[in-house]
Amino acid sequence: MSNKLDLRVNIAGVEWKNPITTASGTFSARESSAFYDLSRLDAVTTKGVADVPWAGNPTPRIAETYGGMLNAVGLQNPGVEAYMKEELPYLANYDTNVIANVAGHSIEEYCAVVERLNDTDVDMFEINISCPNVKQGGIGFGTDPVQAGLVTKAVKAIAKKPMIIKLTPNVTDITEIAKAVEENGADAISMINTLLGMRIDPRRGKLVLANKTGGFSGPAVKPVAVRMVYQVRRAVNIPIIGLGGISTGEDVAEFLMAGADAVAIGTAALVNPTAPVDILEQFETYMEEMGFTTIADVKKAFCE
Amino acid sequence: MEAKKIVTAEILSNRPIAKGIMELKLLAPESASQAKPGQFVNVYTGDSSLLLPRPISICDADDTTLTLIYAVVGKGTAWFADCCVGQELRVSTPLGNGFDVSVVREGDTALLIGGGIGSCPLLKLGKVLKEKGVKLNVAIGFRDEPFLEEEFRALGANVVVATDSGRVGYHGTALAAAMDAGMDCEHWFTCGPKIMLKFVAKEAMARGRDAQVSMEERMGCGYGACVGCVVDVLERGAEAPVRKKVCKDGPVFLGSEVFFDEQ
Repeated sequence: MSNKLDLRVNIAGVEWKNPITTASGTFSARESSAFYDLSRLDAVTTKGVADVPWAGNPTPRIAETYGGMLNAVGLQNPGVEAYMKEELPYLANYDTNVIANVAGHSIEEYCAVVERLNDTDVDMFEINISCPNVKQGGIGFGTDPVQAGLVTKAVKAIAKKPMIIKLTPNVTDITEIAKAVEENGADAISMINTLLGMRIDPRRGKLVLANKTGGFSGPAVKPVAVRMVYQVRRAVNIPIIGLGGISTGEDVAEFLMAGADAVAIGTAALVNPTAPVDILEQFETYMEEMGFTTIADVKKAFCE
Repeated sequence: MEAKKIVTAEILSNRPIAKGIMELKLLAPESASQAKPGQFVNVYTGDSSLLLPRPISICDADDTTLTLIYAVVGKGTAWFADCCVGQELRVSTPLGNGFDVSVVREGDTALLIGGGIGSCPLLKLGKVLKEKGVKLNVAIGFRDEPFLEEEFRALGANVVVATDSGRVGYHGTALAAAMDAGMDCEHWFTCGPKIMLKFVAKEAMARGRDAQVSMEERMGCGYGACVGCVVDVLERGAEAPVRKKVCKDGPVFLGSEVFFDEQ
């Protein structure tokens, strides 16, 4: 990497050394660190954590699609106590910010997790109001501006760290939800969560996923995500962490130009475990080739 | 922790060994030299529309060469079947925990029960057990056309072959063939369809044994990040079952601990 490059960004008062984090649900501290040094990323976003352990959905939970995949994991997680005992101390070995993705079925559940994590080494919260695989809550909050505003306000009132709200694309107008969470105190937005999808096996005449539907992600969804980031950038002022199918360094630039301030790597890391650092390297090469030295340079190069 | 990685391997051979069954030999020293029986590797297609790696169990491995046997069942495996000698493939270093052979001692007896493509990881296991001086009984079952029979016989194992169709060998399941042949052993190892694993685990317990079962589940990443493949396991001494990752915590579990009828 060239010393000339300055990849730093500031997201809601937290300084990031580069604009790349992992997407929740595709990163696991121990498993991912078997492949690369987590300190190379600015931030890692951990899997959704709830106040108590969640068992998630029945299997099969995964299906491949053309240029993408469906997942219906259903936020299986060991609960916040195990997260504090297992995941956080392990992450303390690395020079990286920790974004804790928070899951819940109710405002009370979101608040319980945030309260528990307030005095830990977690650097930022990402409130998941957009999981399509959880029946109650999750996406229920993310598809209604009033509900989205309520949960944002309640969590903001107790959160001692900057709070990112993760938005779902499964809405008619995502800018309405974005505005509602900004008005209610969100420090940043991450978008997009997965698109609701379904697959049927035509040879067996059966649904592929036990949960029937699943979240659609991967390179195939990228244009939808870019369009939505572009729209939301023009509707709110808070920082946007863009995600949705990013697989190359140029994809990162595309999101930054659309209006994102940082990006997250999700499905690409399931395909190739080292994708977050590979994409960072590709992005650095892209910046050098383009003669850019800062993230602002990349954003400024976009003109309509 | 051992660093895991994705390496580039050269195809040494890629040939059919039965209808719809291919044997792929890869020159991949970094993967092959680490391989333990019951582990698998992620193999990548070169078609970017097929996003996910294909987890394939390690049938055999020496210091340089990985032998993988796969059934052509979908677009990804059809893509592999079209690959030529000399072509390069991306493959991971070994994943999963594999069978626990530390519990087996010289002079012990071991029963290996394989169902279809699930017979493949038992070959490497058989080799390792043979080196330990273990007496091997092998029962392998297929729909219609057996494979790997000669390879198991070459280990000096007692081998019975079963087919669903009855065209070759015992007409019925590998488990029934093994029991009819009086193959009960001190140690049981099995890999195959879930329903078969369930009956093998049950039969082993009825005989006071505990089978090591290698589970199959639809995987996403294959390295424990996505939590796509899970199985409910009640570990000895635990009060409640926990949901384990097949790719990372398994794929081998104790038959007595797996909840086969959950969900």
